[in-house]
Amino acid sequence: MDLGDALTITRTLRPLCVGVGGGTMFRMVVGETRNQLTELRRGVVEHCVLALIRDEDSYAFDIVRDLAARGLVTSEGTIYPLLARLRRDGLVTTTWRESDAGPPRRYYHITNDGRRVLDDFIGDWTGFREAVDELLADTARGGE
Amino acid sequence: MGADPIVIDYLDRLETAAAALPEDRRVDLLTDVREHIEVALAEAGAGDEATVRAVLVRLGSPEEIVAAEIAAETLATGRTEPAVGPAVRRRPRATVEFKALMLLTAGAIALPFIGPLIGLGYVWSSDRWTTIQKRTASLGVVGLLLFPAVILLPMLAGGEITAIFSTFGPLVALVPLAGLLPAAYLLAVLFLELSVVARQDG
Repeated sequence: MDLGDALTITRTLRPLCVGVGGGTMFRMVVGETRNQLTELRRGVVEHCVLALIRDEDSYAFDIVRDLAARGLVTSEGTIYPLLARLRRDGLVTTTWRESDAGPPRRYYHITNDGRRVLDDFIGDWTGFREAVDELLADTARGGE
Repeated sequence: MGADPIVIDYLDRLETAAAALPEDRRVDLLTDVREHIEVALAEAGAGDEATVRAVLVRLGSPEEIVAAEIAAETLATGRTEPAVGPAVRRRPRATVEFKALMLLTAGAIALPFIGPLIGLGYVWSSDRWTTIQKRTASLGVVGLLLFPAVILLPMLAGGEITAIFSTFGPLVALVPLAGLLPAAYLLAVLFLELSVVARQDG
């Protein structure tokens, strides 16, 4: 499956290990202290978006506020490039719905490709998290 | 809302910061952020300065958002260079001009009268032709269309189709010509400008 390949574990987790190109740009703008967390979030947050809309469609502002409340995004605007990419990659589709308050909202709906990518990510993430936890626990014990 | 000077200023800064992005991504980003602000203010139920500022602070700086856009694309394609090329390569693709010329040529034959007129719409939305050039092309289209239209339409209404072709055959040819001639003019102007630019670059 093409899209599954397109978002393989290598690509997802590479930014966790090395700063890829464009990282310099990030550093210049965001500043040193925030950089590490920013790098950690990259490649992960977009999958969190897929998880948030897995069972129920939601609109961008609601998704962004949810991620912010969970501490997964600090500057809310930086989520929009990820949402745009999910749209372009066909992992989500969007529809406009009228609202009682204010302008119509653009609702995000996960596609079958999106579900497959999310399932792959859950598997990759669980393995990765356990490996890092284990390593940190081992080295912490060794340092005592 | 929408006319709030703080919001306008913020969106202007975003547009400036995003100037180097490819057109489709720049438009996507600006639309998304503008919608975010509108929804945020609607859900806050207030549009006072403090609320507006709080919404913009939470959004982050325009520069930060654009950096995230560049990073997202770099991550997606695995490119080791920034997604944005040097300024010279940044010229948007000539899709509008292509549509305009297609409608004026092929459109003038396939969709007499209507094709060239839609084509003119695209001509006016392009920024590669000057207003004077656009006016000249429009005058050509409208002028050449008006001539046969005035004579042919009453006859068409009267159902004298065979009479049209026997007596006014040459006039019918004017209909696609109304698109073709201005198209040739616009194309010539475009190439002339390109060769001037190329000579200056060289």
